[in-house]
Amino acid sequence: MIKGNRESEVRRIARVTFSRPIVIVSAVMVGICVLTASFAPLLAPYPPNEPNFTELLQQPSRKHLLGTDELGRDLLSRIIYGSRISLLVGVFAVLIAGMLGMSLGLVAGYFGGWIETVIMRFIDAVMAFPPILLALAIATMLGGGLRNVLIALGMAMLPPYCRLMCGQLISLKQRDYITPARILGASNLRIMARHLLVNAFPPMLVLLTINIGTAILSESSLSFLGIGILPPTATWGNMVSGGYKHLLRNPILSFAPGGAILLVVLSLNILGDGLRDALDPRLRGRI
Amino acid sequence: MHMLPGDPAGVMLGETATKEQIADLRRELWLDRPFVVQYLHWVDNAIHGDFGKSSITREYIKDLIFRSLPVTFYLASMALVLSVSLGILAGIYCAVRRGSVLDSVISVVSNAGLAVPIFWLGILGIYTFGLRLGWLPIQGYVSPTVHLSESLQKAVMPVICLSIHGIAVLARQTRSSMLEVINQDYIRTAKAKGLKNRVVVFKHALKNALIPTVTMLGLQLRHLVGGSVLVETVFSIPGMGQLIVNSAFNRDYLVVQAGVLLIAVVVCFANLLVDISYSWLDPRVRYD
Repeated sequence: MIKGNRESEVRRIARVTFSRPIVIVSAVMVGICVLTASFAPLLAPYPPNEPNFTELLQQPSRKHLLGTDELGRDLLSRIIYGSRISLLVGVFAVLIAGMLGMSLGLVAGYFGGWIETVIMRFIDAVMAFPPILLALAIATMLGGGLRNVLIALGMAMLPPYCRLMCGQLISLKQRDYITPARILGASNLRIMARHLLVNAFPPMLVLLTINIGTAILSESSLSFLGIGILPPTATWGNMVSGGYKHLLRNPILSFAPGGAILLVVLSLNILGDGLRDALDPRLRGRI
Repeated sequence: MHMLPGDPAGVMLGETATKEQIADLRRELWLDRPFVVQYLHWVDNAIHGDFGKSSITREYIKDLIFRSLPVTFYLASMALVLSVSLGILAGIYCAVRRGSVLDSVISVVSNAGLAVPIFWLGILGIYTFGLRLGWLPIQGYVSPTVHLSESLQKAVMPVICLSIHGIAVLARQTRSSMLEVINQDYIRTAKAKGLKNRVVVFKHALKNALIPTVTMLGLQLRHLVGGSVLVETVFSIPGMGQLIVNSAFNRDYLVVQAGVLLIAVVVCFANLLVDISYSWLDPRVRYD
């Protein structure tokens, strides 16, 4: 019976999420991006980082569909490989922020008192810094590269998860099913993991989905500034920056990777909106 | 600074520094004292506006900041005014004319405004309006006290880029909170009394719908300041953003630290103003 209810709940969420055509289109776009990133070596017509000094700054042609950059590298191949970095950073930065933020929020909300005060004032202090500036400062201190960018973005994006989780727990821990669990001898860790985390998760899932787009934008901003993932690794942000130097001669070098960022982030945001419509109880029945 | 691997003074001076130079800098930065003493010394100096000297230019950091801060403030304040006025007006229109063609167009544009990388938008603007059409200058900054019309011309593209995210967020928030408010009984009563639609919307509905919008505005300030880092880099504007980015490149950590801290203080102060404005919007909210 419970299994049946869960199945129907999943079906309801899927039905509401994909009730608008634009959400379906966005899901298809995200799917295409994931497939492109997964099969980049098969799809890219040329190696992304291999210079070709006989074909510098070529205009789009049949041989190079989007042209070549200042080192003769095929732009389309670099955009295809760039999708790997963008999705990787988007997903893992959000997972780092989500896991750390949710854990801190869980501990703060469950134990309350001075533990909550210490954690939440720390989060308030982090929230005073604009996320991109905080990520920039952390990336400056740690240096560039994928690992450090993930750490910087994970730290900068942490506060909303902690606040949301803590806020949810304040009401969840008063629920009737927590007391029997405690009487039955469940440990604090078990109550937090098995009872509270599971029930607090749906709004967190919405936040996680929406923030993947934000993480992709932030990574591209850091790479554009030259502080994130550095060339020759192809990322959409450093490709826009590289193309900016040749704007008059070959504007597509900047336009194409920036357009890719816009399309993917827009699709992820619309998909996140669709998921929020399905999971936010206040909107249920109105869609 | 203390997260840096190795000796911060050594990192700041580079590989060519002698032991004596490193020892001198360590003494100058109080790095030869215990951590707590260093921190209290730094806080004491920061409160008095002394953030130390840039390790690259050897200028006082407060002088660098005083030169850059007004530039960022000028652009950010214009962007804020544009975001608030356009965002709220668009949100009101969408709510009042829900389902119209323009409502759909504004919704799509708002979604795009949230997803567009602003550095890319700046580059598109430079290419289209600067290089191709020649309508606007593509780079630089002129103070409004020096030459007002040139200053405004140079500010057009950066301000639009800075405000695009805010317009999108505020339009979406205002639309959704206005929709909630205009379906309430007191609005129906106001309409039944024969009040003009404009009076009902702007006098009765808007003030109550503005509370979530103002909350969003507080959060938006962080994005505005963060966005200035990118916009100032694209348009070569010598503001706080470019100061921080250049210092980050030069590993001038003290400037980065001071710049980021100062921006955080400004954001906190702006959020305080937002909190205070709640009681004006809703008299039931009182701060004791």
